[in-house]
Amino acid sequence: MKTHVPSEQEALKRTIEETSKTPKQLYREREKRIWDAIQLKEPDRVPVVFGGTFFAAKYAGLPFSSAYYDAASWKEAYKRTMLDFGPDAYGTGGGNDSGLALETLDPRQMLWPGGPLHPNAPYQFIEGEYMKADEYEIFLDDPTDFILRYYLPRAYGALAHLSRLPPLRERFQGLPSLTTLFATPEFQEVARTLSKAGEAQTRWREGMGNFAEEMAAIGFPTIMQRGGAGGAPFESISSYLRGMQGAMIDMYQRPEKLLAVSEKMSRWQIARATPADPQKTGKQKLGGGGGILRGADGFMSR
Amino acid sequence: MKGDNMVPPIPSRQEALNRTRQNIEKKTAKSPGQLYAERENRVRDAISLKEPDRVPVNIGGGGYFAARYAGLNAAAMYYDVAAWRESLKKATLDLEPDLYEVGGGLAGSGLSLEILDAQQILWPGGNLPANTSHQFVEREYLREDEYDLFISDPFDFIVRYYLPRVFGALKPLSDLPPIMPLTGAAVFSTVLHVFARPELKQAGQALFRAAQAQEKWHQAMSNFREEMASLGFPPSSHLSCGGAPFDAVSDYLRGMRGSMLDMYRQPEKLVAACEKILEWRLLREISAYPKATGWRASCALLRGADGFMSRKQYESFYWPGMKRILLSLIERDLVPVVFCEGSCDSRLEYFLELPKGKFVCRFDQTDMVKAKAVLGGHCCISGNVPSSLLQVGSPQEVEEYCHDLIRVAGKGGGFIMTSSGFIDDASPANVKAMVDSVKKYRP
Repeated sequence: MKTHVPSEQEALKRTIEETSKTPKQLYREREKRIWDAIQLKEPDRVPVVFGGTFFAAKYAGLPFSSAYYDAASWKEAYKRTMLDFGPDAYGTGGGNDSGLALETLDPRQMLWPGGPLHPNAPYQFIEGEYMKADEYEIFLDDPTDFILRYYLPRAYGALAHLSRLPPLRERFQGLPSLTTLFATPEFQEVARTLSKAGEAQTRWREGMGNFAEEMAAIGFPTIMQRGGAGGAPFESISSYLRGMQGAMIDMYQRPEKLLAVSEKMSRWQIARATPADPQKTGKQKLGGGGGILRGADGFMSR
Repeated sequence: MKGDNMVPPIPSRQEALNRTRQNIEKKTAKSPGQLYAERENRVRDAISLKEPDRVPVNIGGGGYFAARYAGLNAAAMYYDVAAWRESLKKATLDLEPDLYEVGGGLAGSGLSLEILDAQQILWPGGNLPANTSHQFVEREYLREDEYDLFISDPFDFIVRYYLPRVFGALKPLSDLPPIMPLTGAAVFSTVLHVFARPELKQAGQALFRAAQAQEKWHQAMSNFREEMASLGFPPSSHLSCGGAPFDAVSDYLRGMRGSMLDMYRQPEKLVAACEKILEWRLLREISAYPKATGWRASCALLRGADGFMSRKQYESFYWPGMKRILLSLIERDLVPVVFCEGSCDSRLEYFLELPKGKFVCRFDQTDMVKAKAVLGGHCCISGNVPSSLLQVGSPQEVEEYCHDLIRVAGKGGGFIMTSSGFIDDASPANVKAMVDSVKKYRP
């Protein structure tokens, strides 16, 4: 027998009837429950958080690809799932990337449903060596230079031409010699690509609206508020730049460079950390951290 | 019937060039190739401190002078580059110096500057009247608290801070979020939508159009050196390179006032920035500059001149970086030609630290007697017929000045006659007097 998944309206109505509480009240309760657990006070019961991503699609009978190609349906599915199961909070809401924008940029580091993958295959991250072992110094000297001219061209097929830019750092004594690079059809192509991808992403963001606000309106806080200082630099280096193998070999073969880059990244992250609520200091929110991936057991010694 | 109504065909560029070469040969009884070799050897002898057959002469900074010589406005350098190119040729052919100097330090496409809404320069035909020389606009393009950013993430500084300040059309680049954290999927969540903003698109289009205009300008000046060589004239310099790192900071980044305050308030950051610039320059030279024996590389000594800073400050902030740049050029068999603008009487001894006979010091207001006394036998000196004299003096006065120079500075060789600086408003008769003086008088 097929489970009837209620619409958002139906689910919300049922929640209010069953609990005799408004979404606002439920939101406050749920938030307090989680804060109590964090602050080591005993909450009324153990809070439960919904991890997220594709389960909502499955539950609502949508393909996973709707998280990339059908913002309205995806949001609705997510909300209905949350209302039906009634956890205390959600983690990632997914729906960050427009599938069309992804297609335009031709990313090499990820595969997604509805793109290169079957509509019901989960997202895949493709690890590789996007920073070579002898490129640590380039990053240390001029990190933006590295990302723009080495990393982005490798990570996105449509941005390959960025590798032909010269280092701009010393070209502050006269643009004329530089501008001739921008006259090439390849750069026009890059500009057009970015513009097109930007438009697709903008439309997607409009479709997703203010997801956190909408979730709060139906009573659900998130534990993955944006902002803060981000995650451990080692994660970025290991996942996105050197790959797991590369980063682990670096721990033995060039630990000082690995540490120097980590140090540079964390100083940067801390300097640019954003507050939970830019309007009010002292107001706490849940989130801002990164994930612990390589920090898990088994990846490295104590 | 006889074809009276036939218009004679316009000669192709090559035909015109051939005709000019033939005229030169007729006039001088030498081929342009021979004349080129003579002139180049004369200059090289002077540089390597052998005594040439006579003092070589460089017209010196001919960009606007050549335009006016040919009846054009200063704006031609920016807006009518084909005509400007011809004027450089004409002035050189008519005056017959040993070296010609294009002298368009900030020359480029006026249209490109307009499209980008350039803030660092005022130029004729753009935001200046058509017959006024350009002006460089110094400002604090790097704020006093931005040294750390410049040193630790220079590309970010250039793209999101500097370019928006220097080009009005690129202001939207300051809207870009930082690029360094764009690993993983961060491109999507933080950057991508920004590119859909109309202002950023317009900035990209402006960059493209400006680049096309600049490319056109370059094309019109392509092979100029080869053309002049085929007419018998070597260039005063084959390439230009950056000078002292301090000047890069002082001119382009902090401004004079900013950099001088920094010498007191944050000297370590100033030194660190200079060292970074030096490092980048040295790295670039390895790939950028041809290893061609004897090619002349022009640069300038600007804030190093007398009066800008004390000897101690010169030795801390200025000279070490400048010296390393000059040494690295010399090591690559290039000949630095250092234009010492202003007066450098108190800086002469430092040049003795460089290898003998491997560089040229061109002087402006420096006392040439003193320069010869200190540097004679160590390096070639050049200069210093005042631009003011070339503008408002008489040919007679110019000739007298040059005669004195030849006697004092030209003694034993190691001297190249030239103007003290750019000769935007010089009278052709005076410039001719300067050129002719070396042919008339011997040291």
